Amino acid sequence: MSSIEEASGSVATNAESARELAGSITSSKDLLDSLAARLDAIGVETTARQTQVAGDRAEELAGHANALADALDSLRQQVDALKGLLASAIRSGAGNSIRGRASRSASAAGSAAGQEPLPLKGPAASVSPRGISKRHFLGKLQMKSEAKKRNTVVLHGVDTDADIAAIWSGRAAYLHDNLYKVNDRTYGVKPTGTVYPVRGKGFVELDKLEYTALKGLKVYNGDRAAAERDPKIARFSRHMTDKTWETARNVFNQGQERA
Amino acid sequence: MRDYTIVFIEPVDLGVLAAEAADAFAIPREQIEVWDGRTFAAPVVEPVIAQVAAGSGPGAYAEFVGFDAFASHTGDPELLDVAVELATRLKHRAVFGPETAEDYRWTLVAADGSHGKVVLDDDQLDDGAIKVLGSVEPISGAPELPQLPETH
Repeated sequence: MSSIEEASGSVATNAESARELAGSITSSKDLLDSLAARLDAIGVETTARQTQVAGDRAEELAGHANALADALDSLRQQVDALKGLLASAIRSGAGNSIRGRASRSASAAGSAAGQEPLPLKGPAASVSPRGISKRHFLGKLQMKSEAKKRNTVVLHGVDTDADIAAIWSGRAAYLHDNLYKVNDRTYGVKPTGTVYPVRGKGFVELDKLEYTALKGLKVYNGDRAAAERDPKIARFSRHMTDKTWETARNVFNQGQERA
Repeated sequence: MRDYTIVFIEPVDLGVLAAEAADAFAIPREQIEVWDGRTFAAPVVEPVIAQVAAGSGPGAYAEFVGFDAFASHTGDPELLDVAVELATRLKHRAVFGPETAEDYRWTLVAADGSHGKVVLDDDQLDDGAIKVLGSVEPISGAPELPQLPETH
């Protein structure tokens, strides 16, 4: 394997093959089901039962093949993330005071990867990534999380680490100013290196009151009445409506479904 | 929904803040809620037009909050104009958050009304605390703030 890019592509190909295999097995299972029904109809019950068992087995195999494909997809994301981290390390190594050793390491890493890091635009070119603040994640919300005019919440299942790695490896589209787009999601990068979600697939934008309601639902396990008694929410009792709570509830429920 | 949330980052008396807000924006005093952190300090007359409240965390001493009712009552002013009016009347610094999801910079209004974009500490903000790391443009009324590179 001569490069991470090649490794990523190879894993992706294997994942695709696994999915094709799952599709073929599922087709075989459908044929077996159909055959079992026909045998049953003409009174060959024992053979029909055996055929049905074979069909169930095929279904099980298809499930395994799909699981394998999912695992390979995850592996590919990890390879991509590693690639981003490697590119970042190469860049930061170039400015290190122990320049000689760092440069040799970067050179070796670059050689191992078989590729040069892509040129970066915007703030990612000059700061190191610091991740996304807790208040943007549904699972990490606290009552004391600051509620702003616009609040973007990341739903469960969104691989923000892979997106961040893509930004720092130059694989995200640089939009303008400090904004980047990757995987149908827009992110901003602060001068501190902190990344923040803006909008896109798997993100939800909430206003101050909706976000406050969501915090309450999260902290009180979905119990609106209990949340409304919390002083940080009670102060807005004349301003929050049923619609405010419905919006928050929808987001909360999405988190429950995916958890 | 319009949102006029202005956070004072220096100690402010809630009664004075309510009185100044009432005077500045011609709001009947009894239509401004005063939240002391645990309960409302006095009965209010509906419809409520604005709220003043005890700060919600370290570094946040008091808040002025207005929503659509405040916007309608006052003719939909700019958030910055409201913040400058209150900060200069109370002679204390205030901040307000970014107005779009794209922006990350807060705005600091000094006691003299000068203002500029600032960056807050994200880790502190996660815990509801307001800590200004520095400004991305000079603010004459806050000359001690370190200058940060602007990326936006």
